[in-house]
Amino acid sequence: MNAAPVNAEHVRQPARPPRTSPLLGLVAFAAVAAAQALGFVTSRPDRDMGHLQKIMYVHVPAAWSAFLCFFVVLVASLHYLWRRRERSDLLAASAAEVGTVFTALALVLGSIWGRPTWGVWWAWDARVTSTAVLLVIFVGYLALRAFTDDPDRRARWSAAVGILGALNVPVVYMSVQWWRTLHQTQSSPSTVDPAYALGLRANGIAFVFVLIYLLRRRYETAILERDAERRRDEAALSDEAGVRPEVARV
Amino acid sequence: MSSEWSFVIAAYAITWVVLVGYAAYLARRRRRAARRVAEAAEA
Repeated sequence: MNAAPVNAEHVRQPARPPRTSPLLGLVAFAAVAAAQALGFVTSRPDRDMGHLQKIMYVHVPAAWSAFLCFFVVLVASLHYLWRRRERSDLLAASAAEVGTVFTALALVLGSIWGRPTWGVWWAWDARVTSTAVLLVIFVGYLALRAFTDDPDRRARWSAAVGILGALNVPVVYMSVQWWRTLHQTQSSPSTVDPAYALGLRANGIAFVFVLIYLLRRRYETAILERDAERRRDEAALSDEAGVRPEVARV
Repeated sequence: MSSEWSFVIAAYAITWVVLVGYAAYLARRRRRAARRVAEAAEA
């Protein structure tokens, strides 16, 4: 990886946080409610699963949203290692946290779906296990950021872990093809019964709205937290510089 | 109500709790961060 020198201009200047309108949140959550209502109205009970099929409208979009977040982590982490822009690091960290929430949600929803259809809450199935590994990697990513104080080292290490974690996404996606265990093959509007395609597509789009809203909110929080951290460090340094002559006299 | 519906309702309820709960957590965290920046600027 290109170890470009840190661009001091970008490191020193606090990035201005974007202002996410609460209206975007309202629209996003209203879109989810509308898409779920549409899914309920348009889908008849499945021949095998009955009404349990409706869990697909939340489980699959949650998994897609997680994958999208980790794609953002990959691109932003690579961009950070290339250009050393602080904004890229903060975007990667934000996407990693939002993606972790969606991954955990997808796993829990899959477990709720699995209990009545597979007969168990948890199975060491290829898809379930690889998704759990993905979750553990990104929980580790967030822990790494929480326990590293030096901003530059934190950004470099987490970019490396973020890239490795994001590279696991294709493995999760293809796991149902490579290892035929319990989980069905990928669900998408082109593979499900046409009666369910509209509901799945609508819920997928609505979840992307929520993802954009949450990611923007998390990103602006990250910028503010970094700004507060920088001001605290600068204040500590100036205090130290002010105290030093007295220490020398003692 | 069939047991099928119990699982469906549980799944949708958890989805809403997680998404709205996380949005509320972010709003609180953002307010706290903005307050810390303002305090540091004053100091």
